[in-house]
Amino acid sequence: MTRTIADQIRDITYETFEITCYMFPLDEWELEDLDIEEIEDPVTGAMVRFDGASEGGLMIRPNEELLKAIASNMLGEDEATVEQKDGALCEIANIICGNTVPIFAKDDKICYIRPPFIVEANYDPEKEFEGYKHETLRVFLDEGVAEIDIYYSTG
Amino acid sequence: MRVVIRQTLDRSKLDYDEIFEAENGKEGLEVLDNHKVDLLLVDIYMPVMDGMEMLDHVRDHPDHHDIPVVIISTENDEKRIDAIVRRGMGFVHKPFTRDLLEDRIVKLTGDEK
Repeated sequence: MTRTIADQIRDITYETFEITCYMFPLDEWELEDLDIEEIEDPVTGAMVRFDGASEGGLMIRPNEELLKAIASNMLGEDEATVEQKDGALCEIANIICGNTVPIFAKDDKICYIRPPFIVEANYDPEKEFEGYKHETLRVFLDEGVAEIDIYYSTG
Repeated sequence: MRVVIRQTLDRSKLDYDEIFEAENGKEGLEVLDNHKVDLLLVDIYMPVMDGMEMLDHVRDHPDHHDIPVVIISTENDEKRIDAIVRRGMGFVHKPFTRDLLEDRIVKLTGDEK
């Protein structure tokens, strides 16, 4: 069975959270019990642009619960500052993006990952990446939920 | 990532006196000019000056050329990773576990508390 690009990004994301933050994906039975309406909206986002063999950008937007847990688990700070939370989120975005872009870059060509930066949760990347291919997905972890959008050109 | 690396070193059995941080390759070279450094932990993708350009400068410098280097990166391409390893540098793929980073450093430096 062919795995979609969204499936591959989801796997990369779960692996990143597992290794970096000791968080794990929810099991199917847990997802069935989850009330999607109850999940709070994203509170902030981190964006990573890339260029070279493929151009585009990846944005990750966690809910408040997950954002706190990322900083707490990654940095060992129970009461992380906004700066620490932003830094931890940017690092997660950087790792997911760095492991994702080779999917789009054919013939071993190089993609250059640019430094991640924080965006408002309601930032709309559609305007910046009009005409690019787009994948969007949600990941459900034991400590919260995140939305991921990636816009890319094929290499 | 620098915070995570610092934590990893703090909790490891590695023996060191001080950790210097730099936001990019240019700042990294400035640190090298002002301090004695025994090990470099470098990301490839950094703003202003990337890791590979920084390491070219390090390798050309008479006082710094033999400092052990561990590259920590999301780089996936096996050929490029092989090229890094062939140059005598350690490589740790992100995301990494603390144990893996510690293992790479110990292998490269032979240094343990």
